[in-house]
Amino acid sequence: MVSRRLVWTIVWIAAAAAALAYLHDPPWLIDQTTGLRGWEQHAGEPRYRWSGGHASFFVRSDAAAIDVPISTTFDSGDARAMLVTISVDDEIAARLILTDAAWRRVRVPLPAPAGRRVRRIDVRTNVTREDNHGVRIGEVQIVPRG
Amino acid sequence: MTWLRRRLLLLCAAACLAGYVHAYTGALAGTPIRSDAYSYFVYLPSWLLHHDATLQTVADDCCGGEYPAFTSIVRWRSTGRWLNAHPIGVAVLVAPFFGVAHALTRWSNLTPDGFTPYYQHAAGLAGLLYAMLGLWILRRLLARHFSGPVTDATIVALLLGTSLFHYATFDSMWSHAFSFALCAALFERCDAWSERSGAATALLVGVLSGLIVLVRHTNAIIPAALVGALVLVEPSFRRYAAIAVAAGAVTVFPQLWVYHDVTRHWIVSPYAGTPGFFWSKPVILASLAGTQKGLFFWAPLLLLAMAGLAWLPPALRRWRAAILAVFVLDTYVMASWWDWQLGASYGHRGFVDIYPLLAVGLAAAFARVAPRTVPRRTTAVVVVLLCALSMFQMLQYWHGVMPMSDVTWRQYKALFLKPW
Repeated sequence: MVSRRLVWTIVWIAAAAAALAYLHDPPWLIDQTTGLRGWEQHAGEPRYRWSGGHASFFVRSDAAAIDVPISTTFDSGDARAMLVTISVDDEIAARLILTDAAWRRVRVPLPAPAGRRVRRIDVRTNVTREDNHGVRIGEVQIVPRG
Repeated sequence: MTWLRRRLLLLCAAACLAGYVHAYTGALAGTPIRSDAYSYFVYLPSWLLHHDATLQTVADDCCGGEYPAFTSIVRWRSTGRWLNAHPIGVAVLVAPFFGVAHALTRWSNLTPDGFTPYYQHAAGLAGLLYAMLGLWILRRLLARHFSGPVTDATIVALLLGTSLFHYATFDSMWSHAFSFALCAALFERCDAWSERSGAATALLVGVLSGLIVLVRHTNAIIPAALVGALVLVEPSFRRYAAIAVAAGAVTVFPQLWVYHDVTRHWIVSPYAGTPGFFWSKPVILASLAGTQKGLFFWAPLLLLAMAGLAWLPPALRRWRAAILAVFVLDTYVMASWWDWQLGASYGHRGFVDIYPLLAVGLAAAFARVAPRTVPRRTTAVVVVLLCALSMFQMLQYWHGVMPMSDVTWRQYKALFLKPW
């Protein structure tokens, strides 16, 4: 009886350890996003997704940098300047203030790879437009290393 | 059969888990923390991640400083602070699950903001586990008064023949699974009180009573009725009643502190921005029997539970008046609320909280027909059909075939047994 319990304990511990090892760098992470609405495209503009006040997505960690196209709306209803903060794995990597509706391409340098396949990019805005719209984020371009 | 009954709760949990997985992998339910569930949950990221009791930092992080209207979190006019219409109880009960989710989130390097996938499903599965805990406790209570087969039939019928399955899975982060578990626990502890019980049980009765109020304030009628009845029927409890009352008060105090911090008043109506209650115009008939959300229309099995209250075994009869008082008052309170349907829901969700009280009636009804072959078989067939109907209609609701509220008789007839 005792030995059977011991076997089960070992099986459970091994399963938990295997699950934790897998979850440290899971392959599906690259497809995870939060705080982003669906893709939109309008004539004369790049394809983009609206963020909320805080959005996050993942990029390959072997890249040297990423280029993130960003803009937001300015109209008579809400023309407040918007501070946009981009961080990489919780370290602030870029900041910009949007004062008009023009698209800007922000280059975000990435640190050297360190044990994970992906890095987390968080985009925060200090204010949002109506219905919690932050910035429009275009397709992120990867800048290869070397 | 013995094998099945020994693993009954495990099978119930497996069935609910399958339902949960279907709801979320099939993109039927969005994310677990949505709508009301967001407001029940939002305390946790605010308190534990941002160390902020005002809820402002979550608004800053998610939404540019302002909560969206769906959250029912509004600025209190005189102080400018955020008042959440949904109390802190669910967050308190989900806190351990949140801790595990946060550790996993850090481990996987997901965004540690309180709303990424591990937090979502820790919260969703917390509701499922509390519902199962409620069933386990209820089974203990029923087993004291009924045979094993009657007890197990009641557990399965309650799960599949009412909206309990839905509130353990699709909408598991609403307050109802938590209230169901707490109501079952309080009822079980009150029923278990004996001459030998002492301060520890009284303390537990008080804490459970306080948690019931913390999760849903109007449910204060549940401990009021059950503990009140306990005082009347168990003289030995009277010596310890003060301990229970003190424990309940201490448990409820953090909520009062939150209200005072926001409004400078200890007692407030957190739904101040709504039309509130219409006490002279309760919509009782529709609440109980209407096509929109009528309790017995959507869970006709509960008619059997009501009938069974007349046939309770002697040891449970002492609770009958308390059960009926809770049912009548609960019905009146919910039927008087401006939105008596309680918004989008499968069946009338407000009654899920008191299902443990009605379960003894259901068990009594089963026990009454159990000794005679023909009534037993007839009842079994009817109950199985009612469970099948309830599950089918629940799936219609999940797949958007059945409207989320305001169902008319005409709509119901047109949609009856219509697949998705």
